[in-house]
Amino acid sequence: MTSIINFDRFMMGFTLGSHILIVTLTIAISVIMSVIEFLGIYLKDKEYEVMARRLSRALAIFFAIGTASGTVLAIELFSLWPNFMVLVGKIDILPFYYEVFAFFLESISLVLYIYYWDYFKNRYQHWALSLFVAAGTLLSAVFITMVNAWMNTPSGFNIPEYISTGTVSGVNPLAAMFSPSAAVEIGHVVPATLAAGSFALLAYFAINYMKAKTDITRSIYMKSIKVAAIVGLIAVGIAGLTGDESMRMLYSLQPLKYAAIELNFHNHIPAAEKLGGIVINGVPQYYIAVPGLQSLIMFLSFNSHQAVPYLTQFPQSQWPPLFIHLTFDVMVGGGALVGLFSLLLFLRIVLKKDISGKFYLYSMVISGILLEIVYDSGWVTDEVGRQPYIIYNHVMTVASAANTSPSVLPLGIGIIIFYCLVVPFTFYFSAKVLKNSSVEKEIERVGDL
Amino acid sequence: MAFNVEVLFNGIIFGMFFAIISTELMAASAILFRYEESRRKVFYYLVPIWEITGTFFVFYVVNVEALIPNALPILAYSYISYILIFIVIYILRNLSIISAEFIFKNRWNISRKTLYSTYAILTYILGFFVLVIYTSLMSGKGLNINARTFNLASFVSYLPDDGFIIGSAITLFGLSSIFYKLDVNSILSLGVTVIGLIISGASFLTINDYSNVYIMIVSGLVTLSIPILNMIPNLRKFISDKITFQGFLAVAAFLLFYSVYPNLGSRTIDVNSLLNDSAMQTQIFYATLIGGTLLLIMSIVFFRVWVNASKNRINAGAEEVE
Repeated sequence: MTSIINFDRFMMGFTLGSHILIVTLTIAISVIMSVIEFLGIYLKDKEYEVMARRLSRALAIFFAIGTASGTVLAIELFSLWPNFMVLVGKIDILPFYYEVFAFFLESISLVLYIYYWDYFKNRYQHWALSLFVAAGTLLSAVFITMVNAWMNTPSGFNIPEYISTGTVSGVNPLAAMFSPSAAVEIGHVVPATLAAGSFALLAYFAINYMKAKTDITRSIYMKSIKVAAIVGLIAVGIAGLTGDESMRMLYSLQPLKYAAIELNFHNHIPAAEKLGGIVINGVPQYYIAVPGLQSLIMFLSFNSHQAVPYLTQFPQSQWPPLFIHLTFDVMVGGGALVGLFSLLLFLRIVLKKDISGKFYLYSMVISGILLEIVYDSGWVTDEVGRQPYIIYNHVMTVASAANTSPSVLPLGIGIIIFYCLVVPFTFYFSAKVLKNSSVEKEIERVGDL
Repeated sequence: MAFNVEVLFNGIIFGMFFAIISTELMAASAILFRYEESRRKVFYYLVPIWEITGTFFVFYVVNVEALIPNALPILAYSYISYILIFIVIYILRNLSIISAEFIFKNRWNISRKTLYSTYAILTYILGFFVLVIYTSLMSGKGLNINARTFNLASFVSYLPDDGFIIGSAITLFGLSSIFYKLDVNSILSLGVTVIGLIISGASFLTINDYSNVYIMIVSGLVTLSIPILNMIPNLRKFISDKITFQGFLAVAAFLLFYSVYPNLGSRTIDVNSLLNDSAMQTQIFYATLIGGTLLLIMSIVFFRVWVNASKNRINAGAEEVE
């Protein structure tokens, strides 16, 4: 039984992890494509137009695979976690429902945007479609994050009665949809997703800039690099600011998760910030403690006498796996590094200084990879930090939500193997499609703007 | 018959989903049996329809989750094997069409025809899976709700179940030449559709899950009117219009859905007893109104552009062929 539950957990995590890679790129491409097309029309610059067309083709592949992957997730949710979805269906199905309409907005706009590019004589009308595509992708992220927020801070029903009797009563779907952590999570997750995708795209542009053989190709990639860098900076900046707010939200609403993330075993005033470290035999080791830093960040004072949450306040059976302290450090450390680099890039772009040196280009590639790791680390921290609950605060444990049918095993393995093929396939062919004809020919094909 | 506005919406969504997925199944028939003609008349519509189908599928799944969450464990446990196979085939199908449409470059000795044919066969299999689940919910054969299991052998051995699936497939096969304006004799289309409707209709009656037989008969007549109108020269253009055709199919599917409601499992289950909390139903109602309005506006824009652009494209294609 336990092994099947763990398998369900692994399969869901694996599918979500794969889906996230596709989603970050889908969101970033939709936003960056829109900016690039606008610049192309506004500046009457065919190079931007060529890149927008290329990005639209890549987006078609990401969207197609993302749709399939999203459908797989929708089916997995109710087939692997039926009891969880029953509760969601009764209390918090609204965000999923609205997400479908965001999905429609994205899919219909995208079909029109890609397949009927030349149908629109007014180029701004065509560009307006890209806004709908971007709005659809971003709204999808908003609604899905709302469900996740509800899992972290459940609301909109009589929780004490449900915990004691298992009966759902007092349902208020809007209160569930706008759960206490919803605004903060949306403010952090959506820009973080855009940032991860933007930097991945930036890495791709940088690689192609280095491989480019003609001046015009280099010019197109450099223009794209600048757009991706600026979008990435804005997104990573917002994600950083809201990340601080997220920690305050955890402090108030999920103190156990906060304590695990900070590896606070006991009460210390003022609290030190632990950088790195692992837990061996219940004792944190190999970390660097910065005295008072945690209290300073949380209470904005060196002399605060307020306590921060600590693990021994809670029964050990309710503790999440403590490795989330490390995933959290990776998220914050990596995010800060990329943020600083993007600020440097931005300054050089504004000051019209060269960013085509090897240091900058290789740093862009490293940033792209690093930010995907940062993004996944953040996701792991959030999800694993809620364990052993699938819905926090004693509402539902992972074990009680799972489908324990043995039929899950063989086909689940098949699906995992499948994803191992599908994700590289998507990235490989999207990269191919982005440059499947010469830039010169494409510029010829683009009419007057 | 009890009336529930959320079920009504679910029926409308089902009708629209069925109409859209049917056009994909019809495209699959055309690709398999008339590939060369399909290249000119079907391929242009394929990707837009395919992308919308996926979205509608998710829409329908989420609507069912919102409407009857208590049914989810029954579905999840009973059909888990079929659902997971469905997922694998679904991904394969998407890969084949993406490869055919966006990636194909005559490599690895794989022809574009092979990719499209693979897509068509896999689409048929998916359609079969959807029909198996839908039919088994109606007949209850092979489905043990208490044990939460589904026995395919038991389902297949009940002939009306097979008849409903085969009849539906034949009906769609008969209609495909009208939707895609293939060079097929209109009498043949009518004949095939009539045969399909007789088989599926008789099977449906034997399954005995209906609540109102007259609604079911009207559903059959709406479907039958498509090939009949196609035989009248003055009305052929009207009925083969993509939006009109899909409208007829959606109405027929909706009526079939409503002729069953509120029964499932050969009248052993009352769907009304499984419906969600009223507060949630109210919110879903508003959400459907808001989202439905948005969807309607988007669909109108989409079809307007699609049809106008398609006319230009097909006219240009016809000139090239001449």
